[in-house]
Amino acid sequence: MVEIIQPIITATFLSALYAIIAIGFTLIFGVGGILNFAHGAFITVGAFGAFLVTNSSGLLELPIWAGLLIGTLAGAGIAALTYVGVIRWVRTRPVTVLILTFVIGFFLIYAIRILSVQLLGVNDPLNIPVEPVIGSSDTMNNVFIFATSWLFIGLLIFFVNYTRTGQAIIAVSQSDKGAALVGINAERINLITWTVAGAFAGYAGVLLAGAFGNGSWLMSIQPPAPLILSFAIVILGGLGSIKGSVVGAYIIGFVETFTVNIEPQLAGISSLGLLLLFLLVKPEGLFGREAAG
Amino acid sequence: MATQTPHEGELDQRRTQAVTTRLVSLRHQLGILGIVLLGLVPTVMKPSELTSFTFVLYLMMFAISWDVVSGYTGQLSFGHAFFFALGGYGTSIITTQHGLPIFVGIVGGTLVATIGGVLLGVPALRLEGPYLSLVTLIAPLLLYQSFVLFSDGIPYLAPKGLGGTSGLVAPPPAIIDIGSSALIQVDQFWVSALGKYYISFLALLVVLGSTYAFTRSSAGNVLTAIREDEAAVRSVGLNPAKFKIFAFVFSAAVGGFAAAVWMHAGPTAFPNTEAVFGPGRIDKSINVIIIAIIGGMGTIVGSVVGALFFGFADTVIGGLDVAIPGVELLFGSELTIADTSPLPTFLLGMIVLVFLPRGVVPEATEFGRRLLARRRGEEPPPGGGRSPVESTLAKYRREIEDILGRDGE
Repeated sequence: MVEIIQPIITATFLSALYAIIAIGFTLIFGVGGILNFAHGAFITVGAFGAFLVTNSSGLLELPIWAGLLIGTLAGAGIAALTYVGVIRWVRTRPVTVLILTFVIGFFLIYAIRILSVQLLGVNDPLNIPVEPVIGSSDTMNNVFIFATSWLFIGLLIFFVNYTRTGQAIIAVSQSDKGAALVGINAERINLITWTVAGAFAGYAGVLLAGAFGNGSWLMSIQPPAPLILSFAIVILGGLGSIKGSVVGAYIIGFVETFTVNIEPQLAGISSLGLLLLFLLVKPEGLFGREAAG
Repeated sequence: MATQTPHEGELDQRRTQAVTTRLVSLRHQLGILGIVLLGLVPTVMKPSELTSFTFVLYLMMFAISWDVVSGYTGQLSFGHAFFFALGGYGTSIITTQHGLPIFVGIVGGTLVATIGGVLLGVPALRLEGPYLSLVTLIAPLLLYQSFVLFSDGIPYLAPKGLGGTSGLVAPPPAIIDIGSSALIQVDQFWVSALGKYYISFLALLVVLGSTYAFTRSSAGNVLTAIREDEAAVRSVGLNPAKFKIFAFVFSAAVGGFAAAVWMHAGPTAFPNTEAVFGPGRIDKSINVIIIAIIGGMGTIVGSVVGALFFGFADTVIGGLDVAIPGVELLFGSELTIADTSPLPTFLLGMIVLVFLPRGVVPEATEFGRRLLARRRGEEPPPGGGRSPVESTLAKYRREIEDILGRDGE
């Protein structure tokens, strides 16, 4: 019995983390129709922000709680900056946006690598230390991740469905023109979406780095590869659906935990296999064709 | 005097003239001049400079291979390094672990990449725009993982293993080099640099010639038509999927071939993951996209120009030993502009994407056409329909709207 329960608990915690990772990606796609390849970089920026203010090699040495806050703000800030500085001007050219987010993402992680190696004297940019949020034990940290994951996703769903701004977000996600006709400023809504998505990414970055003991400039594509993971989760759940992403995160989390339990060599491959299967059989996902909500 | 119809008389002469103006227009004369100049580059460069310039030729080939599929059919691939890796590793394993001659290695590497193109392309091209980009993004990452997984060896195929992250230990034999392992042994550095340059140049000519012929053939026209309107292609009884897969596989073969030649004739080419994927595992694929876009998507020639730009920018930035002001105050150690490489190149790519989305070559061609028309005293020609980038993005917008279930415009 214990053999079954332990993996279930592990999978539940892991899935909660995955849900947080994927949610920002879903938001941006659902509202703007933009596949944000820079999402992984936003996550990295969050982890790096936390490192900057909590480590002796960084700028300040504050407790990790402050790091969590700064990381979240850094993610939000960099996402807002990306939207205002670049994406806003090319929003109507999806191919350009696609390639741009790709390039911006790499620009950011290279900037982090250069900052940490050349200026901060971090020996190995693949190992940027970030502490877990609750340091005493793994379990406490996992419980914290699980609780805040549901708290923030709950808040997001409430925000989208029951506030005026949230309703406006849904309107823009359904039709730009229709939203404009009823007097919604799509520019503003997009900026809000990017900022919220960036905050989620930054938050996820700190948690992820904390849970694995360290961040890395390549953390967005190293196992568990949050960038690829977000894609997998979001495609499984249906592009643009918040509910779908949460379900997708749990499916991937469970599949991964159980396959690794059976055969450790399969780490990181089983979810990709699932993703490929879905892409070929049911590319619209479980909850596809549904706007943010 | 009998009336002469306009078709009689100097028919042959006019036919020749028509053919020459059609085939050897100013544009093509410039292109041929460019290739000749490229062939004359060694006369003005020092051997060490030539060695680093040789790599630019490979960038050209890599970008061309991306352009064939993404620029022409509008199917964006985000992981072309997959094919470069297959070609490069393919030939290295064939020559060093199976002891076969270099020629067999290059053909084999190309073949491996082609097979990779079939395996990836057939299922992936059933997918629409963004999904395809995603699958192509994952492919090189999976390949990277498999290099680590099979670092100790695959029976029969690669008995000595794939070397993991640090790459294969034994360097593939060079076609021309100083030292005993090379096919043609020379004793002076400049001779080997020159030899490597011209072998690479020859490979570039092969790549240019074959892709040019392919994209200008009737099959190439179908590809352009797919980018413009896939439904229209289907409605005349052609199967777009077949053409797309063919373009994809052809592109894979070109990329694999370039990488295979690179292993034997390129400067400092080692079959390691950093060389084929880039230090960030995806950045080689990004660089290739940036190069093709700077030069102009869907033109082939654009990739050549883009790579020159890219190489030039890299060299200039690498030489800027100027400290960035303000950094020392904040962090206590200084940072020169050269240290920030490759950030400036990424920045250049972003700027071109935002402000010159059609790329340098199409903009210059149109500017030249206007200028010529004005000199002849004609009306400037109207803009010839949509540019490749415009069509590609229109296609993408339709697909994304389709996925989101929105009403199209």
